Amino acid sequence: MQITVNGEPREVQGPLQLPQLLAELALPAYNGVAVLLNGEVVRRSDWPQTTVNADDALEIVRATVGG
Amino acid sequence: MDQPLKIGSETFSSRLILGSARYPNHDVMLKALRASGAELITVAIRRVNLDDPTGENLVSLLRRENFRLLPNTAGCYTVRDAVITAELAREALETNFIKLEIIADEDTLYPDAEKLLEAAQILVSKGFQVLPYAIDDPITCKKLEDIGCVAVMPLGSPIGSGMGILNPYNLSIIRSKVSLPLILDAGVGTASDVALAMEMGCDAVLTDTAVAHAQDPVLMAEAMRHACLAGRQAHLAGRIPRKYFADASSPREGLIDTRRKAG
Repeated sequence: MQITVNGEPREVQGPLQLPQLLAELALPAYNGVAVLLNGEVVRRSDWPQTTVNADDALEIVRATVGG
Repeated sequence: MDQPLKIGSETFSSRLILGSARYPNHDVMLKALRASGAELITVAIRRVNLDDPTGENLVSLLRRENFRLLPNTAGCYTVRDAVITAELAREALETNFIKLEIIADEDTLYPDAEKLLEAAQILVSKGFQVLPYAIDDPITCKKLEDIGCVAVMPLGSPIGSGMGILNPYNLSIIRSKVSLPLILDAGVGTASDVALAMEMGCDAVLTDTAVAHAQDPVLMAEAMRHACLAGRQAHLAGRIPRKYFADASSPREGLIDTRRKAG
């Protein structure tokens, strides 16, 4: 299925759970990230129960240098 | 002995807050942050680079050295973007501190006061400790206090301009109207700007570019530390009032008589 991650189209096997997707993107144990799914912030505690479906749009962010 | 600085639930012994952006590299950044004595460091929230997802992790770099992080909403032009960015920052960093910035215009990077007040209200109601980057306008700053922000952060001059404190009178008025921690944010060009802000009664100063873009960022960071402390001490010591005429410091009594002997 096709999804959009950080503005780029991406092909993944799915539907799948959010932690699985993060693992596929090589972001497994990285606890500094946050996820926006179709315009809604996914609380960390909700990650395991969150399913990523076809045509979903995700933003995956972290902290970087800033003023 | 000075009181520690209390912002919301957090206490700091340093009254300097530094940004982490615009340094030549992470090594210089870390050296400068250490030299500054700052404990609170601002960071931005941006997309993960999926081509290098395990790349250098700024957060662990900073936390390893016990810096506390203040995420910002830099780059946001709308209330929705700012609120979502704050929520993402809270998830990513497990802090409810947020430096709220809503920019109105690319050339001035001035805050949009109307949207700032709306977003601050929403974030306070969602349990955030909000530090809003504001125009140096006493009315907006007072409203931000009334909304329940934990500090107000008026600008001295536009972000990155290095123009210092363009309207010191407004800053004085804000100081007299607002009892929250008052943090000068933006416009610092060099150490004297930091000293002046602190002398005027600001509780802290936030700067980034003035250190990061200095020819020697580490030395400038150290200068900022001294300036912040000097300004704070001068404020606590209480400066003399300004007068238009001279006021001799040496005693008037006991002056010698150099007239030649009458003859």
